[in-house]
Amino acid sequence: MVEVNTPVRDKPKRWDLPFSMDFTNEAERREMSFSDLNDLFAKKPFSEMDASRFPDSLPLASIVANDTRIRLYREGDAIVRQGDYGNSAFLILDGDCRAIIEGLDPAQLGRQAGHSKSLLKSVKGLFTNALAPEVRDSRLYPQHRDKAVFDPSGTVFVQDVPNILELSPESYSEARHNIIPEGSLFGELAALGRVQRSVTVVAAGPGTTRLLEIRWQGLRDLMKYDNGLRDHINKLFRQNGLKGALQMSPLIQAIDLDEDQWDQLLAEAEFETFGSYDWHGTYQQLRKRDEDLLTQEPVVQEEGQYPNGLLIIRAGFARMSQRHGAGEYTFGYLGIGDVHGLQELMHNVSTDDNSPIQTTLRAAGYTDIVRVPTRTFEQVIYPAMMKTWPDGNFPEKFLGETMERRKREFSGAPMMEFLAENRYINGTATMLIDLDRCTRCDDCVRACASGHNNNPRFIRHGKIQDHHMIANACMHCADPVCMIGCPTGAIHRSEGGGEVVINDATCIGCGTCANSCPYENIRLVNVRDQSQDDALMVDPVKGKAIVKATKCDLCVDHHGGPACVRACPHDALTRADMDDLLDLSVWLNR
Amino acid sequence: MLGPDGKGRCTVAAQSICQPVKDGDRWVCTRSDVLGGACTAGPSPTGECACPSPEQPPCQPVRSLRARRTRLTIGAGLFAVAVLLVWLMSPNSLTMVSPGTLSAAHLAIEAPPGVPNCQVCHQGAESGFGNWLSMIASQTETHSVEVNQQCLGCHFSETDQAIAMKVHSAAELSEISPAVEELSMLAGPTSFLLGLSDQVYGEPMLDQTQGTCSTCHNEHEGAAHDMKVMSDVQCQVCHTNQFESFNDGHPAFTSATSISSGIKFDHAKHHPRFDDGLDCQSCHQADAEGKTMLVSPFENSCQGCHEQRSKDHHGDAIKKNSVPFLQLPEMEFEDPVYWPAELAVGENLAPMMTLLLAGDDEALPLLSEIYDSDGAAGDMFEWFFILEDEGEPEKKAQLATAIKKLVSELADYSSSGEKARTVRLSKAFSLEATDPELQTLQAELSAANFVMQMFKQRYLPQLEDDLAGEEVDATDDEELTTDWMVSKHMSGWRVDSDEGAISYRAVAHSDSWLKNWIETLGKSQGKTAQMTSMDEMRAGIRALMLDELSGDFKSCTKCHTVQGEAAPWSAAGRLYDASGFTKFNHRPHMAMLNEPGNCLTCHIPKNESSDASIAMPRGFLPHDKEICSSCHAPGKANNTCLNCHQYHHERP
Amino acid sequence: MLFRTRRLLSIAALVLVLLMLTPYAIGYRIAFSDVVVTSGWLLFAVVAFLSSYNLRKKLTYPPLLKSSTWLQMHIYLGIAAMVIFLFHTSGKVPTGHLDIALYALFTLMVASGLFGFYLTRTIPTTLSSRGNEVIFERIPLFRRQIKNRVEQIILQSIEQSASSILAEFYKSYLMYFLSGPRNVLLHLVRSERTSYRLRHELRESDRYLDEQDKVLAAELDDLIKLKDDLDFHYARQGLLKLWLFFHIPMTLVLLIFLVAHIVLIYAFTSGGS
Repeated sequence: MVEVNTPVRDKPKRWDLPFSMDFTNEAERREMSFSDLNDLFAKKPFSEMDASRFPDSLPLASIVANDTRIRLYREGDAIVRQGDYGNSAFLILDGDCRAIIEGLDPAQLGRQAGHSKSLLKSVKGLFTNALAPEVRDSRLYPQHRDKAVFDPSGTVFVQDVPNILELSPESYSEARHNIIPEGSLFGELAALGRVQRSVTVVAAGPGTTRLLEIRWQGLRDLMKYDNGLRDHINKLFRQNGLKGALQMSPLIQAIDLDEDQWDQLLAEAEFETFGSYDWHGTYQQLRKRDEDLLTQEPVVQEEGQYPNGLLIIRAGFARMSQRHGAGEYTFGYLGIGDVHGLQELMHNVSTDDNSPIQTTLRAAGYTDIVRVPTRTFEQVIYPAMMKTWPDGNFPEKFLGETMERRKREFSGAPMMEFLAENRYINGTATMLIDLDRCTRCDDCVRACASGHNNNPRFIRHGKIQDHHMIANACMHCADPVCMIGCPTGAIHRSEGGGEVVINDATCIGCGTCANSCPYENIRLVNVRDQSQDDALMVDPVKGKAIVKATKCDLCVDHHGGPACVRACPHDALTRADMDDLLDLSVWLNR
Repeated sequence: MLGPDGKGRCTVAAQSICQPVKDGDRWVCTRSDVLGGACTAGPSPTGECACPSPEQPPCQPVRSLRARRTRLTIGAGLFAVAVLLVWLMSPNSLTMVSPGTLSAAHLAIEAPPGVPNCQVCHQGAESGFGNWLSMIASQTETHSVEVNQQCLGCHFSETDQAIAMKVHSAAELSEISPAVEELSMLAGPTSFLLGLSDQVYGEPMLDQTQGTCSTCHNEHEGAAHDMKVMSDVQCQVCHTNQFESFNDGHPAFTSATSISSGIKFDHAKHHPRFDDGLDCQSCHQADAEGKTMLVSPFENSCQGCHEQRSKDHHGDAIKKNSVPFLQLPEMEFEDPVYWPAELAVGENLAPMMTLLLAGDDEALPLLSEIYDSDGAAGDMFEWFFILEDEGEPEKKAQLATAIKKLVSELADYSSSGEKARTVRLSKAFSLEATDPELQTLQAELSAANFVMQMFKQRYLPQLEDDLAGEEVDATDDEELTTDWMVSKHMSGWRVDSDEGAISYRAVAHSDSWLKNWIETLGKSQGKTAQMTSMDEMRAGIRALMLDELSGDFKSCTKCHTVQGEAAPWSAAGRLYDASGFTKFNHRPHMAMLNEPGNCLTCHIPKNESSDASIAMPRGFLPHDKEICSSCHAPGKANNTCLNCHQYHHERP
Repeated sequence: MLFRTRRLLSIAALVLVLLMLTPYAIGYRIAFSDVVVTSGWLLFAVVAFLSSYNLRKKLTYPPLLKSSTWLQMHIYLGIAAMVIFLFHTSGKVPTGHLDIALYALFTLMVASGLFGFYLTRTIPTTLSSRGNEVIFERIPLFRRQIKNRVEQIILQSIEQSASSILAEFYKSYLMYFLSGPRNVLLHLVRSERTSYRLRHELRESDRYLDEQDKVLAAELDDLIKLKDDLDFHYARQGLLKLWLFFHIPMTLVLLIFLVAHIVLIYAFTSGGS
């Protein structure tokens, strides 16, 4: 018997807003009912869970009640879109789903067409910019806006989801796809692993498809206390995700592993998560409290410990530091694919010594680690390395990050601390302005505006370290938290270069991305109608002004790259990839 | 938050920011979250937005700094255009446009009334920007020629204008002085700057017809600017014999640069004839300005030894230096011809007589035959043989007639005789009858009428009757001849009664008879245009006679150089252009001599030790450049090119 | 590459080019060539290219080389233009009204350009090391905020204490100091005189203040420092923007005069010969 709404001691804050109530669209909100829960517990995997293993602070029933929600889809509705970042998994309750592998037009998923303007159009645009801010051509906006769709029982269907069947029946039937049968769990990899959805999943019906959406916190808690689910999901990950994760490391890519070695590696590798998945929320809170972030970051591996394996970063970031005086000296950070502990392990294996780890590794916000145990390293990785480089001259980049290397490349711990503290290490196109060269002429802003219909997409303002400013321009993060939870898929990674762009036509202005961005680089604006003499566009139903999210798009639809860099007369501005510290240090030390 | 729009409207105040929506019974504020979200007060019960539209008083947008800068730029541009229009369209525009004051000499040039001064040189320079724009459109090539013409019009004579733009403004440099041209074009050491200029700009332009006056002379540099000043290197652009300065590299002076026509006088020969040697100043005096040293006239300097008078004690019997004028040749005729058989004993035709005979159209072919180089070649007897061979004995008679006609004309006192003589001379010398030299010669012949009369009376008394066609018997001559005596009217003339000849000897220095012959002959040399066959024959004969005559003119040519057209009887001094366009002023240098009057300081006579291979006309060594450069050196006297050399052949 | 490397290479290239031009400039006087016309057109071409920088700044989207590349070319070609100008005028000042005007305009352009270059390389470091930097157009906003806060403080002081020391101080000095940008020239030469004297005055009056006022005085001190920093930024950022108010309008004027010059040359000579 399940009890709903049992008072729970010290319940998690997030339960103040149960998942089932967490909809921007009011019509969709409804509390999990008693009968819903009973139905759920009748099905797998809940039926096989042992409620007693769950602590009093996190009873199973409450988790299900607060961290899941039931969603209804018509046949053809897209449940998840390929390329999206999501933070929830789906359990199919009724009906089937199709996982469409290829054959769908990105536009049907709410993406931008992804072409770049011709040179002529770019130039012409310079002369035809609007005079009022945020002017839009309303003809480009899709007509179906906020039409509520009700089924006879009064249940509301999700509206902002494109229905592939309606949009293009041929794609729906002819696209290459797999059937995900009723009762399957999908989407957990993206939810837990911070990777993009690998396929578009469409409800296949027949009729109404019912899914249980589980948010990642719920999934994590369930996994923690239920072996069955944990094993299942781990097995899924080991099957589907581990190899891909390992192959993101340049080291693994370089050494040639045969099938047996791979098998052993895959079987023995372990994966762990550190830090909080929604680190951006935590980060914002911590910044408000002005605490030293470093002390709050969970430790992955500490200086002085014995190495228990080779750590490979699978997602997120990790900070490397060493004890220095009474504090810690941050001298670097690791991103996806980087390794930690390689040198120590190699030294130990080759000299049969037992030296400890030299540097402390902390999760900078959040990090997923794959750990290759020492024994596996000795048996698989090390021989493969010796085979690939018999003379022992290992390329520097595979040796991973060492303090010497970072110190050599990069001058100034202050800058490193600054970047790590503020999580600017996330950026692949961080805007850095050298204030010793910047004449405050604002040519960069003007150039950005001239390419965006007289609306600049960044401001020349931001945190300053010594004489460098990190301006408030979208950093196109490696870990784009803004993309999590976009209801329409308007915010997405572009095909070519991976820039994070917002499709103005499909954005509904919910503000999820703007609120998520830890650096306040996304702005919501009121848009004006070109055909109405630049009057504010207003939603006729609600009467509220229409709002869109805007941010830097690295000038993807223009030739020549970001205009800001091209427009600075004094070489004061650059868009830096934080992963490439060598380039950055060269730029900083010009 | 977004600021004013591009048209200057406050975006907050411009439109209402909320359109209240009815929700049940209540009206709800729909202000966007971006602008602050729903207001606390809410709309009025009737559904109007009750917010004071903006929270603060509406702003008055002002233009941004950049917009103001753009306006300033446009304003400045318009201002500049306005200023230029005022400057360039005003009546005063030419003053504004002028790049500088003219040099003092040109400032005085006045324009015709109503025409601005600038237009004297710059055609089309009337004020008005519109005019100038159209000037660009019109051709600019001829414009430069037009402007140039203005300079030439004042500075060069009509005839010289054609050659003004040639090198050195000289017609043909090579004719003036081939030696000098050769000297100046030797490839010599170049200074660095010149070498650089050569590398960069290439070979200098030797044919300067591409240039204009303004290539070297720049105007508009102020009233005090001397347009004539040039630097040494500017000369050396064309002269490939380039050197650093007068003192360093300038070629040595040679006698080739001291060519002159004039008196042939060998100082070295004359020197020992005087007790104390030659005293320069007894013959050479400076001219009025002191620049050139003139030679004293013959009377003052040469006559003391070289006096030619017929009044010497030998009298008329002296045959030396006499020029044969007329002699009747010995001829035998088959048919009787009125000819003094015993007294005509000439073996050849005298050159002067031949020339005069050439003036007769009928005699000319005969003369050609006589002087045909393939035939008689001037030998009368040869000619007689040829005539016999050819079977043309009658030509002898023709010749006799021609000679008789000549004598008749020469002896004719009357005006018809003058005319006949003029015609004959004009033909003989291929000169116009109005030619002054010709007329002078004619006058001389007229003055010698008396002699001719005597001759005629003596040898051909019945000449007029014979020429009229009457039968004349030569034996009657004996009765008719008269004895004659030399009288003072015949000064210079000598009649040899036995020889049947008249000859002439120079009476005194500058004898007019010989002088006129020489001048007339000289003048007739250059005529080569439009010659008829007769003229060509005459020219041929003249050429032949000239050779013989030059021997006859020995008394004159002993000291005087007779060269083609020019017959400079005076000591002309140095030829300016033949000497590399150098100019020299004696007076300041005379003052610098160590001993006053010691010309030998610079003019060094040749002596035994002098190198005989160097040409030394008039017996002086070429000037030693050291003497000049000892004073004309840096820090001392001026040693620029223009100090001694002048560019323009004729000073404009 | 390092800035230093780029600078050395650019200077070397510039010197090389100028050296190659020098023989033409020196040799012409000897060779009677029309080099003044050639140098004139060369100068015109260089000036036209220099002037086109403003146009490039407006054309942001066609990828026509980075603006910083254009600036480097602008700087070095500007120096080259100076030298070519000396060649063209043979180092002499001309006579004639129009020519003198043109000479003066060009000289002013070069001088303003050099001055601006000096400013752009020296002012930014002073701005970034001063701190408290705000965007120039927002300075009036902050000035107003400071003024309002100071007025609040003074009112508070009047209310809560018997003495009017702070109010006097405000009336005598602060009111004027806060009402607008102050000490512009002093800040251009980086003199601290006025702010030092103000704060010194305030500190000296500390002995006359009661406890509550002392707290307020401390805050006043901070605000004076803030306002001073604001003035510093106003003056210096302003100068960074202002020098172009001279340089750019002058360009247009120069170009207009240049066109007149060329027309006149061709009208009065045949192309300058």
